[in-house]
This record gives sequence, structure tokens and C-alpha cells, in this order.
Amino acid sequence: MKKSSLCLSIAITVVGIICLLIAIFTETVFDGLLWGFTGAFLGIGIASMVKFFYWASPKNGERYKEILEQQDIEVNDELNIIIRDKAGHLAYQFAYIAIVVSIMIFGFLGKAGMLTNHMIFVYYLIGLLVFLLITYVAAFNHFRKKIAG
Amino acid sequence: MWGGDRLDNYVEQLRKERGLNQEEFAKAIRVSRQTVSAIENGKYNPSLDLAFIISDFFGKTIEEIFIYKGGADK
Repeated sequence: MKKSSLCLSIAITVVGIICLLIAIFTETVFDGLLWGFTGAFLGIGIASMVKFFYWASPKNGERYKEILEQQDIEVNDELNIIIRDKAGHLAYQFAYIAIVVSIMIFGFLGKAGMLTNHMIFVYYLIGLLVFLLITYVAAFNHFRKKIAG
Repeated sequence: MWGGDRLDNYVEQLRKERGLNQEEFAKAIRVSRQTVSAIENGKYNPSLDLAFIISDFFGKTIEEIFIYKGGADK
């Protein structure tokens, strides 16, 4: 296993420890958030270190190589790539629909007086919708230019 | 998009002739077992790249393995 993985694990653990110390020794409105970060960073950091030492041991070397090779095959498998693209496109379409429906729901709730400051949500969602559309068109044009010239 | 009814192939037959299971064959040509299965069942047509890799593996030409049945969409 790469040494850089261990370095990253240690870095993540250190960030977790820093969050822990700040959460213990200070009292701010961000305490809850800091405890959350502590758990997340420490959990990921320690788990990564354990994983590193497990796979770095010589007796697991051969098996680790096999797993890496299999992972490489799965990631670069052409059918998987097509399926991922199709799934991504479908998810994009559903996200688009979900955002439009959310705008309608927030608009309706606001007008019915069941939600205050509803326009913040509506504007945010409209912004998100525009962002998604622009990103999609830009990515499409980028790839078409790259492939078709 | 995935496959089509215009392409037949002898991948399964050739693989079995060499005494390989799908897993072993998939590993040899560096694709997933599911891809091999989909190709053999005619549910997925491989890319030209993969078709060349497969034909190379069996020591045959693409035309000997993949048979175009004709009839482009109108």
C-alpha cells in the first residue's frame, strides 16, 4: 500500500484531534459541529490507518495486489462506464424534476402562509437549477469539442 | 445502445473450447465477469477496442468472432 495513504490517514487523524481539542477547550455555537467533525475525522483517520497496516503486512501482499487489480478492472470496465454514465444522466434528470417540484411546493407553502421567508428557498432552488443547466451545457460542449473538434 | 439484434458472436463457444470460465476469461481480457456475460448473451456489443482485444485473445479476426447480421435502422 502506498506510503501517501498513511500520510493522509495521519493528517486526517490530526485534524480530528485538533477538532476534539477545540471542542473540549472552547465554548462556541459550533460545538456540535466540532464534535461531529471530530467523530468523522477520527473515525476515517483511524480506520484508514488500521487498513494501511493490515494490507501493508507481507502476508496480505498478494491478496492486496489481487484486490487492487480487480478494483482496477471494475473501475475501467467499459460496460460499467456506460452504466455509470446512464445512471448519472438519469439521476441528473430526476434531480432536475425534484428541484422544479420543490420550487412549486415551497412557492405554494409560502403563498399559503405556512412558510416564512419561502423566497430564500425558491431563489436558492432556481439558482441551483440554472447552475445544473449551465454545467450540463458547458460539459456537453467541452466534450463535443474535445472529441469531435 | 446496449447491444442489439444485429450482432451475433461466438465468444461463449470459443471460451468454452479453451476450457475457461467467464471469470477467468474476464480476467484475461481485463473486463468484469458481467461484461463477458452480457456480450455472450447478446445484451451488450463490445467497443471496437474490446472486440480487437477479444479477437486477439482467441487468435482470430473480428469477423470470425462477431457476425454482423445486417439491416441498419432506417
